[in-house]
Amino acid sequence: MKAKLRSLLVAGAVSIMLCQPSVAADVEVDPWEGFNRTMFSFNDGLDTYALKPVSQGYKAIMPDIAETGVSNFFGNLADVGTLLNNLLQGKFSNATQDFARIAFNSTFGLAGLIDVATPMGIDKHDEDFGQTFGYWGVDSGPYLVLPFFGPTTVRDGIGRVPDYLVDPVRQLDDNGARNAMYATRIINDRAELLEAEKLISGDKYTFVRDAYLQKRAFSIVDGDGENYDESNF
Amino acid sequence: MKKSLIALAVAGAMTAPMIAQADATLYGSFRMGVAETSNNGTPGSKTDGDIDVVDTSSRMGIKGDVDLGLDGTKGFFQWEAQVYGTDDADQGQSLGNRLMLIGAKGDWGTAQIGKMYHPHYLLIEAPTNVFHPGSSDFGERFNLGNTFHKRQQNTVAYISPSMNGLTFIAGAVIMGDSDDNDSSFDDGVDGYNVAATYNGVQNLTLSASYGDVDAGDVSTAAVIGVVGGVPTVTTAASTQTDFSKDVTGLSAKYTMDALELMAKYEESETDFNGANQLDENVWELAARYTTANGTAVYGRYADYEEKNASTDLEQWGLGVSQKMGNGIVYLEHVNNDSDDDAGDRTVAGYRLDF
Repeated sequence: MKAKLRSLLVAGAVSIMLCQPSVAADVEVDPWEGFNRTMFSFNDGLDTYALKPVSQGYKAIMPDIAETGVSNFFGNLADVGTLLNNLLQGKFSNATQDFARIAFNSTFGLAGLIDVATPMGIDKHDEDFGQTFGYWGVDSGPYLVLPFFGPTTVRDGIGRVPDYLVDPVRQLDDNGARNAMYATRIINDRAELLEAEKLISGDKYTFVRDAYLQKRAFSIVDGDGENYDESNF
Repeated sequence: MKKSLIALAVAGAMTAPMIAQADATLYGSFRMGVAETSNNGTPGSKTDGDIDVVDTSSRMGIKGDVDLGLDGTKGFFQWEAQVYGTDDADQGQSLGNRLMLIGAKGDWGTAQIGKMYHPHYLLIEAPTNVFHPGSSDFGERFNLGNTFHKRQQNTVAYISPSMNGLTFIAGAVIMGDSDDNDSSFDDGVDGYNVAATYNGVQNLTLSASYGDVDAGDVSTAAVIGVVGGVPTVTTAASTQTDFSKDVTGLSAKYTMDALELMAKYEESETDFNGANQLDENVWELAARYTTANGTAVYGRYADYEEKNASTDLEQWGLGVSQKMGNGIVYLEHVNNDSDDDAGDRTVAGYRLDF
């Protein structure tokens, strides 16, 4: 009995010791958890009762080929920001491919509706100013959930300002057309996440936060991080 | 025994042509595209916004080596024709002769005779001419030869072996009375081109060229003048006596991994009717960046000056291409700095090499 009690105490102590770094890490990356959870709940409600139903309707109504065309169109516009950020990160090979993607998809690909560049062997990249700041060593800062905009960090949130400034959609003079483009892009982006969100389990807030932070860390090093070596597990 | 002899003879007869053919290579490059062209400088031939299917110098040819039975020396030949996929007025032919030359090469160098690229084009103009349809390049204006083209017939040339990276080239054009197919010149056409290229320093190539053409009396239209924004072919006089043209050029190319930087300078003087008629020069910078997967972005900038007419023109171009095996897809734009945007051209092209 004593032995059993002793082993339980040891197991408990070990468990506590193992848990402590995790809790400390959570506090370190998410010191504003209270605020963030409130914003997350707000966004989640907005998504549940407005954006998600609209996106589900969009996905149900749109033929797959049209849905792909819309996705390709906005992907082509996004390549403009990616090109700029690859240049700012000194990734000239990637920037060359980004330029080629924009050139070929905008012409041969009928204004970006068809992604001809990918089957031609020109890789697609995903860069933004938050990643550029991270590439040059700017720390991510605390995790932050913004109303309407969702999960980010202080660094990535600041990066959204120049992202917005170089967004090709913003260059449209016609307000109606520009807002329609914004709305379509948001719905398209949300529709693309409908399948992925089925993976969410447990505490939704923690799941989304951890997934976001991991994805950003992965993207900044273009998947070359040493943390992904299986020997680390 | 007889059967085996017959079999051997039959086998020999069948093998002989195969051996003979084995040294010849059929090759080609078919290049088509769609171009949007503003006025190209020739009045009436194009208008703003014209969209054409264009052939950007499609060609096919045969080349190969021939055993001369000599130690260290072998013969070679090359024939190349332009083939056309368009019905442009200036491309009405179905087949155009581009190259036809034979020669011998060995440790002592290369000697060749026929119709060939002159070294001025190969060493000075070609490095910066990074675009697929190169005809709008200012550099084409400085071509030598009886028809002022980059390929010259009636030519004999010698190319030295590389001596610590230094190579000399000398070529002469010999055209007697009425033995050529060009009626522009009546008699005694002579020209020469001497050039040198040096690549003894890693990643760097330097070239220089000087050429001179004495065309005698020119009795038909000649290449003089600038129309619109582009130096181009027009008629300055119906008869030009003692026509002569000399061209000097310098070029450099430097490679840094995926990045290539090229530069050139050319100047030319044209005299006829006893006076200097044209005194022109051009300098050009070009760069090309090629990724490991065959994506290339390239651009060039050129400044052209014609002193007698106080003409100063600028031209820039930007292109992107993707290599896929032996195929290339490209998108290129050339802009001429002139009031009417004459000669501006955008080409979406497709090229297959074989």
